[in-house]
Order: sequence, then structure tokens, then C-alpha cells
Amino acid sequence: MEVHPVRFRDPVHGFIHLSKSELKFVESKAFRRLRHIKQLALTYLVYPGAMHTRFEHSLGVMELATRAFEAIQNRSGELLSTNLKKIGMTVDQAKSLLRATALLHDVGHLPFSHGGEAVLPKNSNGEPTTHEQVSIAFIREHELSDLLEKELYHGVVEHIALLLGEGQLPPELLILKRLISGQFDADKMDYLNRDSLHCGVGYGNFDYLRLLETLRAEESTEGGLELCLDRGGIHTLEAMMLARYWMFTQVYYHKTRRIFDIYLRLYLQAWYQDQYKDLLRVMDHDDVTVMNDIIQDAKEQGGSEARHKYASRIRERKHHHVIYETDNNADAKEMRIAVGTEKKLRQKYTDVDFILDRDARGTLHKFYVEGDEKMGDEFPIYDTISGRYSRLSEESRIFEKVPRTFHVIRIYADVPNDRLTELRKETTQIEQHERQVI
Amino acid sequence: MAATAQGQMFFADKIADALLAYLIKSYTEASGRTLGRTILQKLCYFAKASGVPLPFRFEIYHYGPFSQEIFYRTDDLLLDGVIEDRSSDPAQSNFAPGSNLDPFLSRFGEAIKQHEANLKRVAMMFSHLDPTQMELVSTIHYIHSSYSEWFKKVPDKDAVVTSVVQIKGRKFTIQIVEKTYDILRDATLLP
Repeated sequence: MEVHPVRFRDPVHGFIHLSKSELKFVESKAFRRLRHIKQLALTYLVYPGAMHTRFEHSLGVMELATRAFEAIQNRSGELLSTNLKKIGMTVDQAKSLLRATALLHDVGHLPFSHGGEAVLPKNSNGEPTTHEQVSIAFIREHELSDLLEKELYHGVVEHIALLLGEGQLPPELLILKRLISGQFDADKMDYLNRDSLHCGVGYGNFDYLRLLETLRAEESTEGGLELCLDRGGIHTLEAMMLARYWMFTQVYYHKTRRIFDIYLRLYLQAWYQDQYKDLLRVMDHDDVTVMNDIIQDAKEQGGSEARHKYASRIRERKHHHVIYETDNNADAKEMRIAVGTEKKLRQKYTDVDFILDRDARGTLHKFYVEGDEKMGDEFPIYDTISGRYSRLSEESRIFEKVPRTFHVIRIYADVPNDRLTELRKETTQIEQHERQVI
Repeated sequence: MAATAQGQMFFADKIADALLAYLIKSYTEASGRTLGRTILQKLCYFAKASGVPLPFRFEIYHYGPFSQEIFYRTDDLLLDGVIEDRSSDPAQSNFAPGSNLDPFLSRFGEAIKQHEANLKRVAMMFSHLDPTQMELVSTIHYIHSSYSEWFKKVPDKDAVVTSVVQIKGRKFTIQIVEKTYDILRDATLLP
């Protein structure tokens, strides 16, 4: 294995070391672009410290994936090498594949990260293109592809595409995939802690170092290996799931952040002119180039009315206010009530602009819970004292208490502050009426 | 969660939702039975393998190829009354067409028409198998196709059977795995 003579200083993980080969990937045009793509889009309009980028996050994911891999290598090395041998891989090859995949997993992010994805073309099945698909397109593009094949090993590009979700992964490689996208992967470990640090909140902090120290691998009944935790690591895993829950409610779906996400989406839809039919064209833009357009569009009405309108909202930080919101577990009934309420409000207040946000939905966890109707991810737990194995669902009662999904529905209104109290009061009355008649 | 009243749909809105709903409808018609979660997972797996553009990503799991996303999509279909779950046990599911199925499908006429034959063929082909048999055929198919992709050549029977026996050895004998492999190969179901 090549030594790692290049280092970056990272505010979350300390020094992150790279090999000379990996530095070439970092210096590629595609990866350099991530220095100008903010991790959390316009969240800095709410939490001013949230100026960090996909660049540092990608380095962080590579670092944590490596630490997790090395923990498994140290504690379950024999199992790991036997497993990889079945598909003709060495442990060193697997490690370099994992590091490259972790480093490049977000390389295809659009300007403003997830906020920009609305402008990607639809796939043939009507589903939106994902940033992972753009990442795969970038990795297959000649600059990165040539570098990867030359510096790592022949065939690595297609192996990265497999780990990023394209095609069917042989069971022997599932263990690597779990470290990049799984229930406690390097991606989540990094962004929860990093976003928390930069936003200046404590919600996403959890003891990921302890989690890494308790990782090992076991033979899986599904073929290949599965991640296993020492019993002492359960509490950090519980903390990670709670950290995710709190970050959803306090940062990722914060009411003001959401409204700026909506303006951004509406702006980008007006700004977009089919330029991403060729996914490689995503490389032409980053936050800086799009923000230049936003600043220009906010100044003048020359582009389109929609561009001017939403650019001004972003530039001047003038936003709609929440007049109604559900709890975090909205269901079909709550959806009907919210839709009905907004309709009545529009009829009554024809001079007010309302926005209904019904898409603030996400998955909080996918762990298996005893007695739940859905199948979920289950993990073996190893008791280092007795040498016995149990299952996570037998050991922890926390997971069954936290809902798997998050869904909040909000109605926003564009009114001056002195009308807000009256409008909120009226909305509550309409909502109570809707609740009775539904 | 409360389901949506007749005619009102808020959650299911994509082509994949319609293809999934049509698959459930085709299976219940072909078999005369409701279907559980394992059968639905495997039907989607084979529908995707036969070219139906379902966006689900499958990985090998306890009962063969599995995609968690199918659960979220079926949740949306249930909430909108496109399908219903007739099971009284929360740990089980018995999916059947719901009261909003036809109005929902009528919104996706073109997409359904394009994949109707494939969806019906898959539903018919597996309508007589139980969940355990589906687990075996889909696992053999998954191992065969993932090894084909990984090694860039069609794997020989021994490699596939050995791997399947390693995973499923406690449930199926080597003789049953070999016999099922032969049936799948002879029916040209292995890529």
C-alpha cells in the first residue's frame, strides 16, 4: 500500500492524509469544482457559519471510511481477506477502491447541492436524475477515468459505479458499500458532525470515534460480510440516529431554510434552459457562477419575471412567513387538512401570496424494529465479555421509539409582520374547521 | 396512518408508482390471491430484470434480492388508497387493489401500455410460486447476474450454485439449488 504523504488540515477530523495518486484526483477539474459548492446550499442565510463545502465533506468521508475499514481490518482481517479473495480482490485493492469511491461520491453535486437537483432532466422512467448518476457520469468522463485506471487498477471505474449504486453488487462487496451508504456510514458520520460544527449547533454531534472503535465484520447470512458492533458501541449508534433526527428538525428542514430552498428551486427552474441534458455540462456551473446570475437577476428584470422575483428574495433575504405547520409526522389526513386550509386562505385573502410546502419529507432511519410491519436493517452485536452474539433489535429499545420517517407540512404567507398575528389566528380557525369536516 | 378518501391522491404520483400498482393488480388477477411483501419484492426484481424501468436498487438480503424503497412506495400507494393491505397482523402484509386503483392507473395509461405485457408476463410466470420458492429463484438470478457483471463473463453453474448454497444452505439442499438453476437456465431466465 502506498504511503500517504499529502495532508489536509480538517476542522473536524484533524489531519487527513492522501497518497500522491489521490492528490491527482483531488486536483482534477471535476473535484476542484466542489470547493465552490456549499454543503448546505443557502442555509447560511439562517445559520451564518454554514459556509462549508462539498470539498471538505468529501475528504472527511474518505477519512472516516478508511478508519472504519482499518478497524475491520484490525479486528476481522482474516474474514475480510477471505471474503474479498472470492471475487479476486486483495485487501489493499479494496481499500483503495473504498477511498476513491468515498472521495468521489459527491463529485456530481449540482450548484447548491440538493437545492439544485430540481433542474436535472428526468430519467426514461420519469424519476428525477440523482446526483449519484451525475457523479458516475463524471467518473466515467475521460479526465477522472484515465487518472483512476492509471493510478489505481484496471477496472476500478466500473467498480466505483457499482458501489455508487449502478448495477448489482456481488454480496462480497456489500461490506464496502455499507461503509459509504448504510445505516452508519462514513457519509452520515461526517456530515452530521461537520454540519453541526459549521452551523454552530450541537444537535449533530455524537461520539463517532467510539463507534469506529467498536466496528468489526461477521459472516452474513446474506452472503459476504456484514458490519457488526461491539456491545459498547450501541449507545453511540443510538446517539447518531437521534443526531439525525434533531438535525432534520433544527437544520435540514428548518422553516426559514426550507423557504429559501423553495425560492432557489423556483429560481433555478426559471434559470435552467435544458443545459443538463448532457450530464457532463453540470461541470460548467458551481455556486459562484449561479450566484453571479442571481445577483444580476436581482438587479434587473431583463431575464424573466420569475428569475427577478426569486433572485430578489434570495439577494435581499426577504421571505414568506410560516402561518401554519403540522407536527413532524404528517400523514394523509394532515395533508388533506393542510391542502384544504391553504385553498380556503387563497379564496379569502386574494391579495396575499401563499406557498404550501408539502415535500419536507425524509427517512430518519431504516433499522429493524421488533414487531414492525416493515423489514429493516438488523445488525449483529458482539459482547466482548461473554463472547456471545445478539441482534441490535434485542439490545436497544431506542430505535423503536423514533419514527422511521419525517414529514412536516407548512403554509407560508407573504405578509408584513403587523398582519401575521391576525392571519395566523384566522388560519387556525380555518384549520380547525377543516379538521372537523374531513 | 389514515388513508386518503376516494379520488384524492397526494403521495403516489410517479410512473414507478403506477407500474408497481399495475404489477400488484396483475398478480392478484393471475393468482387469485393477495400478495405479501416477499412476493412483491421478488416480482419487482424480476420485472426490473426483464426491462421494466423500475427505479428500485436491489441488494441481496435475508430473503433474496431486496429494495427498501419498495416499502416507501407501497406506503404511498396505501395512503392514497391505490392498494389496500388486508392483513390484520402488522408484521404481515396482504396487498390487494384499492378503491383508487383504476383512477390512479388511468393517469399513466401510456407508460402502463408500454410495459403491460412484461408486467403481466412476470406476474403470470411466478403466480404459482410460494415466498420460499421465490426467495430461491431470485437469489440464484441475483448471484448469476452480479457475478456476470463483476467478472465480465457468464459464470459457470458451479460458481453460482456454490455461492447460493453458502448463503441459503440452511434452507435449501444443493440438489434443489442445482435443479432450480437448471429450470431457470432452460427457461432462458438467466442473463
